Amino acid sequence: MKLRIAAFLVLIPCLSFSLAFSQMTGRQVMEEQKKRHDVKSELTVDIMLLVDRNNKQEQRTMKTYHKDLGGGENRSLVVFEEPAKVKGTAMLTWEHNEADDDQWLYLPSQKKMRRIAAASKKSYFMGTDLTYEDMESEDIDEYNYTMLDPEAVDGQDCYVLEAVPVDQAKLRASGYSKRKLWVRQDIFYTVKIEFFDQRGRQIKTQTNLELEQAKGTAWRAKKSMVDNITRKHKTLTAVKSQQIGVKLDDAIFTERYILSERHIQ
Amino acid sequence: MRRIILWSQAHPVWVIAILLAGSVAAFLNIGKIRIDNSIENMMIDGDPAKIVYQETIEKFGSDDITVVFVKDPDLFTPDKLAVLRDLAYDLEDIEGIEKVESLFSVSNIRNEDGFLNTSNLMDWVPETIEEATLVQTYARENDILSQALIAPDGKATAINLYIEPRLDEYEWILGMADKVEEVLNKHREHFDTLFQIGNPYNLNYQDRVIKSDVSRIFPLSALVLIILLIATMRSPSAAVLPLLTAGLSIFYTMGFIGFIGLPFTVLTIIVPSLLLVIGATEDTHILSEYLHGIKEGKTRDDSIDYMSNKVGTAIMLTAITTFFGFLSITINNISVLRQFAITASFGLFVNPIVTAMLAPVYLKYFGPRKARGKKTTGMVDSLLDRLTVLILNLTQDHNRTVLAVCLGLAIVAAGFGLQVEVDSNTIGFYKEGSTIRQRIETLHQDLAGSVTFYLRVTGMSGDFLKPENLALVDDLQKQIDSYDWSDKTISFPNYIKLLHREMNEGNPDFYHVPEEEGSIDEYLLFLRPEDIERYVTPEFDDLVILVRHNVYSSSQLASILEDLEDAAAQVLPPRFQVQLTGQNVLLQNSADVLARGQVMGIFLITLVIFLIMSLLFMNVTAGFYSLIPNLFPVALLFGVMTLFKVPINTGTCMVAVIAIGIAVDDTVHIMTRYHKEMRQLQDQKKSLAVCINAELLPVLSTSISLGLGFAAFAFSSYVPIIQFGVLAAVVMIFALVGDFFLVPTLLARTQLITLWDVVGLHLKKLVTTGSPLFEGMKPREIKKIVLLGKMEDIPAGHLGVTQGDHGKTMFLILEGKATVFVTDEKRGRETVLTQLKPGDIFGEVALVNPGPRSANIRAKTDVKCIEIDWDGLDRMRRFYPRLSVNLMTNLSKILGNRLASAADIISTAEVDREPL
Repeated sequence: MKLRIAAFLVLIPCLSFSLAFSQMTGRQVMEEQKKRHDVKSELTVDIMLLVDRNNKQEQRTMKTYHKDLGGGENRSLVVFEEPAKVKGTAMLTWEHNEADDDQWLYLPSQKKMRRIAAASKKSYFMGTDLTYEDMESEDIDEYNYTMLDPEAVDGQDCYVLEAVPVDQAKLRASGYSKRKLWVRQDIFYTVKIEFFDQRGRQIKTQTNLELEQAKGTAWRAKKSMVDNITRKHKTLTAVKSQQIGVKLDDAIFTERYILSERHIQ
Repeated sequence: MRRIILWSQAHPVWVIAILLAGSVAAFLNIGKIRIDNSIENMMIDGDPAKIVYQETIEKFGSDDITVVFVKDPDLFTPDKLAVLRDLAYDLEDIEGIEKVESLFSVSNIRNEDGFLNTSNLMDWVPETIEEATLVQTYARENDILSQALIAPDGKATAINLYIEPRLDEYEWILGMADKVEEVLNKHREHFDTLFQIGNPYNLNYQDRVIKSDVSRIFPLSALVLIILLIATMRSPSAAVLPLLTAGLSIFYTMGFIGFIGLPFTVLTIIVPSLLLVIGATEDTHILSEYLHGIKEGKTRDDSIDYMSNKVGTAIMLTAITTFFGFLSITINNISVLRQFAITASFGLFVNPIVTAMLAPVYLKYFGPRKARGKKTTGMVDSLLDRLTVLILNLTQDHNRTVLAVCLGLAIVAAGFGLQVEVDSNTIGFYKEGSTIRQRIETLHQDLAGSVTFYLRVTGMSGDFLKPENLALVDDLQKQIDSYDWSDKTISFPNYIKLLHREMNEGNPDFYHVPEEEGSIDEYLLFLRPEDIERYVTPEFDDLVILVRHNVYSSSQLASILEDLEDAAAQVLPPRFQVQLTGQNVLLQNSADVLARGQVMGIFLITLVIFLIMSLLFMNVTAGFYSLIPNLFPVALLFGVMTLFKVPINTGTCMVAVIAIGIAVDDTVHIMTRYHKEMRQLQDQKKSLAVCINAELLPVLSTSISLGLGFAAFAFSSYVPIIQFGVLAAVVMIFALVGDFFLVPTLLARTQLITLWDVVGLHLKKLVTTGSPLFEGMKPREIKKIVLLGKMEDIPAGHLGVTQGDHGKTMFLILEGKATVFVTDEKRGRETVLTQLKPGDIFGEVALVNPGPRSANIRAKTDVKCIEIDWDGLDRMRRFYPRLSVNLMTNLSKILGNRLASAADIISTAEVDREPL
């Protein structure tokens, strides 16, 4: 009997703790995140380091143009700057609200644009541990977010969410059966993601580090690491330069711009 | 050896105690034996090919592919594909599988209605038949997947398992096959056909077949041997004794290898047979002599004594020869051969000791008290007698013909036998229709064979990003594809070509390596490293073409590899280094190694036999002669192997060694026996007759029994064991012919002295230093001459030579004193001419000029002397020429002095006119 009382006494603070933070739903957390961190335009230069199972390293520099046209329409252009042999290789993406996204690839040696099928989004992007899917902005309507017990990551309290595709069609379109996200409670920034395959086995973990307040409520991680367990491969990314709210002409996000090789300076 | 026999006879309790202690020790260690038929074990230590292989698999991963074959008419339906996915998942979960390649894991970059789709062939199990059929179509159209993962008709698929390359962990590899089988059993009901094939399964299968065979066939073979021994020797002891001695020796040997941690391999598997062969031969000789003693009315103890006297030396000689012979094989760098040599030589070391200890004790208590069955088997006896006569006739009267026929036959056979094929065909080892062969055929009807190797091309960093170099590799690959034996090749250019085609709207005209500089770097962005890491290094300096085929024969593979090297040299510029490697390439090397090992083994054993025999008979000619009957069966064996297209493989490679083992045994028995008789009889014909008469039964009965015992191996289901059994049986017959026709023929041309006799002979100082006959000779040489003569004992008071008798021999006194005197017939008066002491000779005149003896010789004390005749000197001249020259010189001196003193006497007589 005494033991039961003791157990009860221990449980009370735990329950009240979790109650206090579970007032927000998972979806609300994600909405808050979008509100705080999505920006209208952004120009980033990233340095990527790919590390394989034998510790072989490969470095790449990529320039990413991003523009939010509103109404769920997003444009992005990724241009390889280094290594020199793939300089100018570019990928243009038009994210649509309802329809499938459009994606084109430009290979300088062939001097032509090649359309990429939407089904490709589960495959890894250019030898990295990120799939095309990972690089898109999150569409909150496509997932059900379940709030799990909060946890601390590196001393920061985080919401822990489980994101599962809303229906079978979305599930099959996604490379993941489930993702587990750790979102900082104070700034609503995702610091860790675990990805699970259709068997429910963990594929990889992404960790975002060195957070900085970039502009207004928007935070950005200066570094991130994707540790791919199944491939025994890692992708480390460091931001070389970042401009938020920079003016980007819509013409940048066109085939013509790229075919005229204006993206290569 | 004789001492061990006699000691054992006197201390039976000790013998039993010692043997029991040995048994306990063996029993405690026998459980530690591990079996190891791994490929690693077959390879040469520090073989450069092995280093290349290890370096290659470190860079590109294992070439050891186990194929899980799945066939079902409704394979591409959502239900079946769902089971296939679960099967692939379960296989992924097996520890030790590096990679599972299935329709669910492969990427399939393709052009779809003008869009490039870089997704996997199948991330999810299709939901409809239409979807499933589309996947099937994509897979069939993909050049990399077709034949490797999907049958051209789309009704069969493979799940390729890349197993961790743990070549040296035999048990682990066997266990891998079991683990895979377990997973397959779980899903078996869902598919028409579902099985695995690959190295682990093959080794596992081989292991089971050999084990079941050995446990079935070996007892059968032993039973045949026992029954035949009882029948031919007409005594149950003939069976019990070998069973006891060989059984104990085998037991000890197994305990020994357990103790020192040597594995049991495909080669050591014959050691029990070997011990039984040699053990049974020894035991039969022992028993035969013992029975001979019994027949002469001796008691058990006396018969044992008689036996030890007759066979002691021979047993020791055979023990030494075979022991060192097999020990000599340890001087090579192939683990499996070294392990065999250590195991066999240990067995051959304990076997004679066990035999020498156990046989007298056994005979003391259980030995037959009388030689039985004389009457009932009169026919056998008369047959034996007739055979003896036949052998004697042939070897004596048609001496040269026999030799010419035998040697001619051997030379022809050996010449023919040089073409004997070396082939380790891992599949040919199983009978037609066996599970493993069915699987291989089934797989090969639908998909590429499961045998693989790498063609590795090494250049400089970045070489394989250059279109022109990849085009060259592609050309080479096309050439490989054009060969009949080649089922499927995959390499880095395949991926590039496929991408190039799909990048250009799937237009087949673009199915080639793109010419544009830089295009390969760009295409690489689309390839997952895990897709190509098995084919090219991250530095693009090293590349492999994975070749899949269905060639299991090592000799066929050898010629394929040779062709490929030539082709590569023609297509690629010399700055690229080309290497062919893979487990099966190494296995093919190891087949060569086995053959070379055998040649070396034969050579070493031959050398050791030659050295030991030369030393023992103190004569190089004798050593040489003793080789001929041993190599005779080997030459014939290789002839037969070539004739019947039996290749040298793991099973047959030891037959030659067994042949020598058995032949040398009988050769030594016959040679020592002949030598013993010769010393007594000083007559080659008689000695041979006695020798053959005594040895025919034991040698014949052991040979026939062992031959049929080995023949029982023909009931095995493992082809190398069948071949081993039949060849070993045949070789027994050859050895028999060699021993009975060649040994006597050759013996007629030599006279033997053994080192043993020389050491055992003690001569009086007067003989070695005082005899004019031996002037200037070393004691060893003197002993040889003494041993070549016929030993005579003359009791005190008896006449050694009688005046007037015809004589042609000379005598040398070794011990005792004698008087030379003439008898005047008319007066009956004896006139003493001289006294003889050790070292003195007499009758030398009769030696050179046979005729009536001129004087009598009477022993004053017991006299031991040797008698030398002209034939003896003639033999000596042939076999010990230097010795003979010295002896002749001394003899001439003696005769010269005799002449001089005779002349003296005559001249003195003329002066004194005194009668002699």
